[in-house]
Parts: sequence; structure tokens; C-alpha cells
Amino acid sequence: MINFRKPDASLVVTTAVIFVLALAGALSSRYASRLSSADFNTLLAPGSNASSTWELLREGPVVGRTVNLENVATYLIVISLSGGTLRAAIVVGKDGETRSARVLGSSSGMPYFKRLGVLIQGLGTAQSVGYSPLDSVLEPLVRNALDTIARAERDRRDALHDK
Amino acid sequence: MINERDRVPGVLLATLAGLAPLLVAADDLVKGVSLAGGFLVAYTVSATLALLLPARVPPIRAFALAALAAAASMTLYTSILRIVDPVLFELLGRRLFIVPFLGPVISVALAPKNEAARDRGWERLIGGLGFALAICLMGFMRELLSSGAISIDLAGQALGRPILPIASQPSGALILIGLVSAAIVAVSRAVLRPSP
Amino acid sequence: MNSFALIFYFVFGGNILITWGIVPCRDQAVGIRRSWIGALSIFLASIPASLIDSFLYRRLLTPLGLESMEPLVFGLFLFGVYFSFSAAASALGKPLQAPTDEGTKTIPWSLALYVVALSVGERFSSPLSLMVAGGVAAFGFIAATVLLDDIMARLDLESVPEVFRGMPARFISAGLIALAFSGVDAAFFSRLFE
Repeated sequence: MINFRKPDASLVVTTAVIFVLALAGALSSRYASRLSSADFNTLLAPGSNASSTWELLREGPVVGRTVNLENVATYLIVISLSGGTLRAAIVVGKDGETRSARVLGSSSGMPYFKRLGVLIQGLGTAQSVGYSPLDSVLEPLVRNALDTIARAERDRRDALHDK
Repeated sequence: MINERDRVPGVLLATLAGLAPLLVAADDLVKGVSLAGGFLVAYTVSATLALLLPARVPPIRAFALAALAAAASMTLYTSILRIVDPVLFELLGRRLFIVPFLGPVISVALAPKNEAARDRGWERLIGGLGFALAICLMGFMRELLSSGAISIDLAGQALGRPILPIASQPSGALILIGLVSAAIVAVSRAVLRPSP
Repeated sequence: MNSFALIFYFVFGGNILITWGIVPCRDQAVGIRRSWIGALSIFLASIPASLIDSFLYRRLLTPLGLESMEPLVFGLFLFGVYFSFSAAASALGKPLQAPTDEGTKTIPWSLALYVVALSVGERFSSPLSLMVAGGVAAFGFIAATVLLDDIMARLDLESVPEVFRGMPARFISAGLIALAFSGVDAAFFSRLFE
């Protein structure tokens, strides 16, 4: 005959508390996930909240994208450089080329971030952003972000085409 | 034999080393406050549970339960942070995930060695408050030094004249922690100097 | 920026010792130097750790909107592994040592592995890249730990002010390594591999 020992009451209570905490964490996480989609839509495409869909990617500097009813995607990027981050919204065309860019904010006032903001703001426009000695460090970061966006956009278009 | 003069700074410095990942991540006040909040939640849950579980519970089980409770509380905290500011969650989320497994949090998940240590359990909780304050202060100091001003939201950078831009970088944080550690040793030795 | 640039980046500018502040204490560094088995274990464990963590986070938790559950899932995994090893060790007649107060004061190795997995998972998503970058990040961490220990051993011979001896000097040295490494960042390797 198997002899079951009565479990310690304190262990049962503690396990129950952890379970309740985990359940609350899971429910709030799902709620936060839904809420953050709406927030990112508003951030990237102000005014078109109801007609855009947010998709998390978390691929290097690319956090995610919203796609509007015209099938135009806007990507949210966070470029990290030693000592801070810069957030921007990049609108892309059919082939993943940049149509326009908007800096959403920077966590540092260092010259590197100011110049990074200028470089990003100049994407998709014909006007010159000039030259800075800092560009040699910043350009690969911007190029990396744009390459990742182009790759993600190509994958999205391919997936749409296959449907 | 280690005397009190070496023991006190030794414990503080070891805790500082355990907190280093958060101190390095806190490069501005907003991040400092968010990380300090996460640390305080995980630390308090872990320490409280370790103190409340009776001595008859096997130590390794009590340790596992306290550590898992800290991890569960962190899931709740990160979700709340994501509700408040989704961008901040994307920036800090992974740094917050490690909080329940940091040395100081794991250390308080261990059950007190004896009844006397259990009676002094409230000291652990006060200590957690102090460490959380240290993380906030680090964020404040680093932002002030690097940008010359303090911003209270993530959307924009406060206008200011940078004093020491390196302070916002991990290298600046580590050097700052080193200087603070030296100050702790100096102050402890001055205060705990044996009377002639 | 190609994968090669990012892989080298994990050894220098993105080294977890400096970017995440994972600074092992003297005993841990000495332990790594004395026994290559410890270093090899961390290196080998980091490869599946990066893969498993990324799979859990990207394929399991993110689609369900449960990203915040990551620390709990890791905790359950960690204690699951610990209790399995403990049971196996007890069956073999060599019970594992329970965690001690001293052992938990600084940076546990499990945390270093977790940080390797998290930092790699931020940048890569394909299984091969994750495994390679995980191994490289662990190698970079071990190399930086040994380098820091060398600097500390050399400092022991110098007339460092008393209050700076030990941990303060260790942090300042780590900060100076970080300063040197940050110059050799992703942009440098990006140009090298163009």
C-alpha cells in the first residue's frame, strides 16, 4: 500500500500564491499585448488606428510594423548606440525602399544621436543631409536597420503573394 | 578572521556587484525608476516568502519557492510596465527578466540560518528599499552627468549641456560603480575605525 | 551589417560583461582560469541555451501574448534542471551542494548563461545564427573575464590606494575595458566584412 504523506499546509499555500501570481501575470500580459498593439498603431500611424494592424517582429533594430488598408507598411525601429537609443518610424514602398522617415524620440542628447536623427530624417527625401565625421560610425547602423526592414517587407509581400 | 571593519564593506560591495546589471542598464531616470521598481517587487516578494515559510520546510524547497515567487511577481510587474509604456517594455523588458535571478534577490530567497537571523528579517526588507533607491539614484546621476538635465518621460530628451557624456555608456556606469565602491570602503573604514 | 560583423560584435562592443554589467568576482574568474572544464561547460551550455530561450520567447510566448512570462518559464526550467541533476546525483550517492549564502551574493553562472541567451535572442532569429552567436557571446564573456583577472593580478603588484583595492579596482578596470571595446564596435566590423 502506498503511503501518501500529508503535504505541509505552508507549502500548499505558497504554491497557490505563486500559481495565482503566475495566472495574474499571464492575463495581464495578454491584456498588455493587446493594448500595446493599439498604442503602437497610434504611434506609427496617428489617426488611422482602426484601419491598421500591428505586428511584432523584434528583429535586430526593427521592433514591429503596422500595415494600413492600402497595404503600405510603417516600421518602428529602435537604434541602440552606446549610451542611448533612438526611435523612428519608417514608411516603405513595394520593394522595401524607404518612402519617408520620422524620428519619434531619442534618449540621449549626445551629438551622435543628433546626427543619427538628421540621417534618418533625410531618408526618402531628395535633400542633402550634408556630411559629418560621425557618419562613418552611424551609417552602418542605419544601413543595417534598412536592410532588416527590406528583408522583412520582402517576406511580408511574398507571404501575401502566396496566399 | 574577518573583522567588522572589512565585513560590512565586503557585503555591500558584493551586493553592488550583484546589482551591477541593473546599475549599467539604468542610463536615465525613467529607466532607473522602472528597474528599481522591478527590483523592489522581486526582492520584497522573495525576502518575505523566505521569512514567512516555517523552518520545518526543507531549505532547498523554500529557496525554490521564494525564487519562483519572485519570478512570478516579475511577470506581473513587466506586464504592468507594458500597459503603462509599451516602448519602455521593448527597451527594458529583457533587462527586467533577469531581475529575479540577480545575486541580491537570490540571496534573500535563502531561508534565514537561525531564529536570530529570522528576527532580524526586517533588516533585509529595509536593505531592499535602499538598493532600489541606489538604482534610481544611479539613473538620476547618469542622466544628469551625460545630458546636463533630467527628463521625466521617454519621449524627449531634456535640453541641457552635457557634462560627462561617457556617464550614459556602460563604461561610464562601471567606472561610476567603482568610484562609489571606493567611497563605501572609505566611509565604512572611517566609521568602523577601532577606538584607541 | 552581416552576420559575421554581428558575431564579432558579441566579442567586443557587445560583450555581455560590459554591456550587461555581468562582472564575475575574483573567485569565479580564478575558477575559470584553473579549470578549463568550467569555461568549456559555459561555452557548450550557451549554444542550446540561446536556441531554447529564443524558441520559448519567439515561437511560444510571443504568439500567445505571454512575453512577460519569460522569467517564470526560465525559473521553472532552471529549477527543473537543478532538481533533475540533484535526484540523479543523489541516486549516484553524491548529493549536490545546496545553494549557500556566499555562493549567491554575486553573479551566478546560470545568470550569465541566461544573459547570453537574451542578448543573442535580441539580434538573431534563425537557429544557426542563434547557436553560433550564443557560442561566440559566451567565448567573448569568458575571454573578458580572463582579461579582467589578468589586469587584477597585475594591479596586485602596483601601489594602488587601499580603498581602491579589490572590487572598486575591478569595476574601474571593467569600465576601462568597456571603453576600449566600445571603440571596436559593430560599425568597425561592418566595414571590415563589406
